[in-house]
Amino acid sequence: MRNVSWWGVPSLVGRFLSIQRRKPEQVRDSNDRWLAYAGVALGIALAVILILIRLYQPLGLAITIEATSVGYLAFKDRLRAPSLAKRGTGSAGLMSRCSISMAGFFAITIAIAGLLAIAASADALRRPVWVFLVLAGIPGLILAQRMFLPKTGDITTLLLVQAIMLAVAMVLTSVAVFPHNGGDTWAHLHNAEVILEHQRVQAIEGAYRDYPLYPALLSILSVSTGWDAAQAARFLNVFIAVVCLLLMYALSRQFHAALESLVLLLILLGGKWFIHWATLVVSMNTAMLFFCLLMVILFRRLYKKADTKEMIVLMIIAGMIPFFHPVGSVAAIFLLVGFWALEGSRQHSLIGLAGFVTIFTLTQWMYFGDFIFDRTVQDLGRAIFHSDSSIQLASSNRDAIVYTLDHINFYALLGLAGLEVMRQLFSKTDRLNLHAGLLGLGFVVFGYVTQAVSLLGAVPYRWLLFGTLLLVFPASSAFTSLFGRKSVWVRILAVDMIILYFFTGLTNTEVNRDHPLYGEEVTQLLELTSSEYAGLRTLQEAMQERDVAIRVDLRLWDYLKYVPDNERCGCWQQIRLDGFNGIFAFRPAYSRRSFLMDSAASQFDREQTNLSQFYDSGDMQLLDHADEAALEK
Amino acid sequence: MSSISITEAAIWNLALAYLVGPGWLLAVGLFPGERPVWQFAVGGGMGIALMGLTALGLSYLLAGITRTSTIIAIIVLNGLFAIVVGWAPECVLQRFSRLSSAVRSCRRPGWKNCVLATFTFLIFSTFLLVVPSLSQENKESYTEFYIVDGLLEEPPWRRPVNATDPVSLTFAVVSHEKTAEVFQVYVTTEGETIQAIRLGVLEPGTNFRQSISIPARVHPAQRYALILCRGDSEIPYRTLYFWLRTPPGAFVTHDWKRFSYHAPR
Repeated sequence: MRNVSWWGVPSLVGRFLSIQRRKPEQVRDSNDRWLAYAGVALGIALAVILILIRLYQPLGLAITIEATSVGYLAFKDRLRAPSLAKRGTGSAGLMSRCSISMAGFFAITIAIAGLLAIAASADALRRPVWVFLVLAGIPGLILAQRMFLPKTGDITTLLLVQAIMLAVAMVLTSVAVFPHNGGDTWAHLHNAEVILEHQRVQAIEGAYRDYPLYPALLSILSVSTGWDAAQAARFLNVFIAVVCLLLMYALSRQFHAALESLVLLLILLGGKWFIHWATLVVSMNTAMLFFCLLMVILFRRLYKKADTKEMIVLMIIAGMIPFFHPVGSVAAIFLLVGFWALEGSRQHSLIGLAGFVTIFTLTQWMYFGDFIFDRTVQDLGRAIFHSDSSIQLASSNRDAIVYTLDHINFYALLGLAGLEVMRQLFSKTDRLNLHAGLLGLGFVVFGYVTQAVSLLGAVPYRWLLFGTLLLVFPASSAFTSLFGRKSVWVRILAVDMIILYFFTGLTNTEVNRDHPLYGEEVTQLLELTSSEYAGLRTLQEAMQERDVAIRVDLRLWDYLKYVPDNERCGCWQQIRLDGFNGIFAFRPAYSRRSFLMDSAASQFDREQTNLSQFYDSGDMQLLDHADEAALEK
Repeated sequence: MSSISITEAAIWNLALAYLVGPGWLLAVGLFPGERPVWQFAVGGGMGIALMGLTALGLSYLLAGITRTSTIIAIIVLNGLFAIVVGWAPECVLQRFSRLSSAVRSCRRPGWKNCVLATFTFLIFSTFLLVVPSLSQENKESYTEFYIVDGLLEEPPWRRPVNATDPVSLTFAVVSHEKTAEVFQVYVTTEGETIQAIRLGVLEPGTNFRQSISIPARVHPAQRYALILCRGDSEIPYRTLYFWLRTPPGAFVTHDWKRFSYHAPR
């Protein structure tokens, strides 16, 4: 027995979980059975508590824990049995040639289907339903090739190419054309133009000054290629999604067979949170990319000895993240500390690196930026000392059934990952799955806890993304173990499950911001149409020319507050013309999108005296209200 | 495929090489033993980090972020990392060795497979060539219709104007429609059309401006409407309203109460 080192509790945790390659006969059946029973009990307890406090939205989470534990007890033997992934992939002769021909044919089919889907998404507010069906069907086709074609060793690259084409199509169908997302997107695009104009990142104003490199990246791409900032942002979105996929695939291939790695690609690509963030034109994209990159370099330590070169790369990544996204750097610190805790005394250099990243991040927040540090401290203080509405915030405004259906895709991922983590906790045959699974669950728990303590500044959805990026490793192994069988029916079921998984991922309300399946009021929260954008430009022009008050709604305000010389511009929760003297933006969407404005917007009288409308682009109207009293003066 | 699409596709590929190049060279130089897909993926991520570092560096230099400075910076970065790769010539040899063995293994099953693989590669390349042309256009169609004077410091409706004084206004029509369209503008007040202006055919992207003269008003609450119609339709496509304020005492109050205004929509 080794001595307990001075590294303390994390080291002990790491020692408890330390990986030793055990023979199957050494797997302790009783322990993992008890763990599954504990999961069943936890699921029931959580469900009872939620019902008692009448918080029905997260019930799906309790059911997931329950189903995972029961599922583990039911499929334990199957999880341990060798699957298709472990079988040889030798290739020769006619069978191999047949597979290549088929895969080539399907590659052409997928390319054409992807292009058609992109072309049909010209108006991203009204994508036809078939686009979703096609995008959900393609992964089934890809998986079917791997599962049904004989001698699939030679088509690995072809399948990877097909998955990349699917990724490009999925991202572009969301971001190929206007509308862009509201709020942050507009601010980033505007900041990119500010950088282009002043040729310095220091020209950015407001909170975005703290992490200026995403708009700087857009500026560099824009200035080098001749694109406008919006087109550069679209390209970057596609690029980042594909590179993230490749990073995860590359890491998985170091540990797993081709089938598992392909399943990992599909599970990641269809994951609700991955689609959500990969199709948003915001700087969080870069945080996702750097998190994947950090994972790949960090988990390299599981199969290769750490060296100076690796440390250099880790330091470059860790040093750059705070300039791209503040949450990304916090996630990087968590990942480094978590990995060190799991590996125990074997990775002492990591704690030094985590310390460096922490100090560097805090220094960047405090001395380079002037917003994030203050806000973080304030939010933490408010959450800990002043929060009295945790349950309200945790529950969200959606109906419990809609909420559960929205999250079912994530629950599936969580359940599959839970199965593999439970298996690995005692068998410890796959260090990647165990480490990634435990760290991923840690991120997910943290995400839910931040919701429970009303820590909105910690933006819970981001932690669920980081959790997803880690959990796909154990989830892909569990999926392969469960469905990668010789039985044709089980494999057909696997293909069906992937199609269903993609469909639920693509159409949930956080991801699907158009309305073939949901009402507009649910799905257009973040959107601006291009004609609204044109209206905003005109409003900006008016702001520069006229010395009157200007009022817009919250979404437009997100864009306009970063326009220089905007002291006269403010945000309006309700249109109240009494006593107002100035310009305001009116969107016909107010009558449809209740969240944009209270009922006052639809009640306001367009025929009032002194109310003039001087701009109309259909989706944006600018009105000038010259207040009577002000005119008398 | 049009020359514009090919140019756009070429720019996409240039941007790809631009982003991945330095990072890939660094990944190959530092981790020569890793799989090609690993090196490419890590190179892509590192490329973004290095590009960010370049932007940050250039911001604090006199040159700033300009086209010339960024291109020079990327060339310097590429050169620098190429030297790093060059310092380990065995890595380069290993690269070529892997590539040649991959080609050999591809050819082994027969020439048909090789042809098919090339064909699939062409399909993927075509996919990448077509994608940019699908993603560069804003395909929503709409038309902006506005009163240019509304952007000025003191638009006409913010100052009192005598009832008998003519008021001159300029309206603008900016077409973002997919095809050329015919437009008409009607100036109406009190339900009557006082001017009809045919704008003719406006090509997409056209910014048409025209001045109009507003005649004397008959009551203080009189409101005007500029109605833009498209094609032969008489249904308003865009509508603008404005009031003209008259100095106090210009009208006897009971005169105007018999008028009622019906908005066109």
